[in-house]
Amino acid sequence: MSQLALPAAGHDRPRNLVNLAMLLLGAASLVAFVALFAVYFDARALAKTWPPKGVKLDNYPGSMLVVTMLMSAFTAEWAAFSLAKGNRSQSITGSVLTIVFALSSLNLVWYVGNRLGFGPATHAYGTMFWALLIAMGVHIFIGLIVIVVALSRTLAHQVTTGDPELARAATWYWHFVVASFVLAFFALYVFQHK
Amino acid sequence: MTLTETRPDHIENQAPGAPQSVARGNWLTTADHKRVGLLYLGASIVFLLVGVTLGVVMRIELAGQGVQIVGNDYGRILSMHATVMTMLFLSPLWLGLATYLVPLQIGAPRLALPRLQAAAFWSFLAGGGVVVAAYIVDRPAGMGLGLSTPITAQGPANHGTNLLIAGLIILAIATLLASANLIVTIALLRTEGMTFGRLPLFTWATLWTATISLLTTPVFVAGLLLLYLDQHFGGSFFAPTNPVAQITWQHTLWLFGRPDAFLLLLPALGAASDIVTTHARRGLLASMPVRISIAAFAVLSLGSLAAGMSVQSSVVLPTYSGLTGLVALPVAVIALVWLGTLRFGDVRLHVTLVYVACALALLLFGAANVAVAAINKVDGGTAWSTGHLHVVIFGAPTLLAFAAVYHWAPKLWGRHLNQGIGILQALALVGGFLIMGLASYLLGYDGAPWHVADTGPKGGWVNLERLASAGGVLVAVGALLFLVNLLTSVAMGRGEVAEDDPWEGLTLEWATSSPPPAHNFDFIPEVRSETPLLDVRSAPTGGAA
Repeated sequence: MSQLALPAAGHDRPRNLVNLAMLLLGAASLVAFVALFAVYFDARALAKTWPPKGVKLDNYPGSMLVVTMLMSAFTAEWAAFSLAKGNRSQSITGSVLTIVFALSSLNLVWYVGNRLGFGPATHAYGTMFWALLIAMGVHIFIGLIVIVVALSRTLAHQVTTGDPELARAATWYWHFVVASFVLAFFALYVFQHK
Repeated sequence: MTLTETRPDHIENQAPGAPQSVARGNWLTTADHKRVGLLYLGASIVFLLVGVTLGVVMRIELAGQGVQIVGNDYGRILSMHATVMTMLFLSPLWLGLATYLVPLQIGAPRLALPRLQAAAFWSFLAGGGVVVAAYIVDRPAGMGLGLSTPITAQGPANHGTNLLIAGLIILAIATLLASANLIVTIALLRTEGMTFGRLPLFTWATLWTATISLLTTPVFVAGLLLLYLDQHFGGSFFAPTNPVAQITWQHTLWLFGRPDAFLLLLPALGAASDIVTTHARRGLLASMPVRISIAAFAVLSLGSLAAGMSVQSSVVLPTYSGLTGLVALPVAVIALVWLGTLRFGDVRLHVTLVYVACALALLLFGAANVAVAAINKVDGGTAWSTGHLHVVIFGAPTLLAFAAVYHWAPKLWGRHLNQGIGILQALALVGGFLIMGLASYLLGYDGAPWHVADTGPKGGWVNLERLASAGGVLVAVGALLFLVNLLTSVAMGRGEVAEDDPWEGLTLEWATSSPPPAHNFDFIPEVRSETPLLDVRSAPTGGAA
């Protein structure tokens, strides 16, 4: 067995593996939304009237949705920050509140879809609206699962102040979901008319 | 050369001469990157069999006049063949190699998120199964891999369409998960001294491939979502009933004008660079230009998203436009550096170099035909594009993929593949692609249509189709030779047992056993350059045994 001419490399391993992965996947989610926005505004530019005649959006549930999502961003951040600072109980409270807001948002997405009065096949506007609504619902659902996993591992003392990476990563992903959601709100509600 | 100081007990207890197992545990639940990588390779080889069988059926059909054996199913078989060969064979083959090799090349004990990669593989397998099922249960409504013709939704779609879109979405998600994992691994698990500028070229190319995948796959998913809503609910977004549907389609074609076609060649450029340096027994003659060229190739591939309607009629299909056509420049730079490296290196003749030479021949052949087609103003929507797809987009990367498997076989399975069969396989593949390509190019110059079961009664066309079919059969023979080699050398254990470093390699994967232990490395040499093992051998105290 020969001796190596050069010394062995070090074995220090950085943290943040899950954080970076979540940032990348969150960015990928955002790219999907950006693609949908691009199609939405292109279709809007091509249409003579936008939204089509007969379409009247109820701004109230849409506004409630965005407010709920924005509140959830704060509670998610509170959960990750508290854990990093050693306050486990506050972190759990923050995560539970985020889950409640996420479930409320899913309920509101379902409510908005039921009250629209047009389907995905009614017109191009309908296709785009439903595409964005479904994309939002799917992303909230994925974010919800990630937060539930992070919370359950916090409760099981697998995610701790010494190793809070999963809690932070879940929060990162949730922020991407909220950012996508706010952009969608502006596209669908604030700038809905040509 | 032995670089390990002590071996774990379970390795020493194995029978002498037999390659060590890569990891313990169940293959179904494994998260070991080497096993997951091998699972990817195994699945891609199964899909290769499916794709080749479909290709042979099509070539038999095209060899005769009239529609003889496929009935109305030619479009279905063609679409399935294209999807299987690119998305279920070649793409996962590269992903499997990357999953296996990247941690070894950067001196990491594992992937960053091992279970995520296992999840990505099983998602890929499920998605691939759904895609194949889609073609079996129904004819997906006019959709193929490229989606290069406008979708005209005319009512609710059939089960095949729904399944195909669902399968493609699952495949896309699997790709996203695996890509993110590879990027994180390369970014955060590199061993000390392994800067980005010192990454082995295959890992460097994998980094760029994963990055472009991460940026473009979500765009494809967004397009699939819109398509699903349109098709499943009988929508009008892309349909003729929508007065602006055609313009909408033109404006949104970028959702489907994916750079994936380029990503089949991108990892191949990195793998071939590692192969050339290993068998030239020296580093690249000029490393930085190759790194920049690989990055430039990746960035230029994004141009396909801006191709617009030219996708449908581009003569350089699927290099779409002038912007994406520029990818030829970085490829040329890389090829020149390879030739220079071999010229000034101490070349070891090896079957993998035959594959690299054959791939370069195919690329040159394709480039020459682009020039001829540009002068003659050939329509891209003809048999010319069939030839170009098989020569450039699929043929060259496939040859380099097989080169990579032959090169890294000792590390993958602990055994060498038979070089004699390997050379026969390379000749069959390159001969087949050249013959099929030549016949298809000539058909295209004469205006013969593509994507039809019967080209027409024109006598010359029939003969050229027969020639193309002969080429197609030769390609199938090449694929079968690979399977025979794999079965005899690896499955039946007749291949020569490999040493830890049979090629006197330059990069870290050769610094561990063949195949590596579960923890990858017992000892990692310090990395001071792009060729750490060359440094070890040339160090004054003489590290090489």
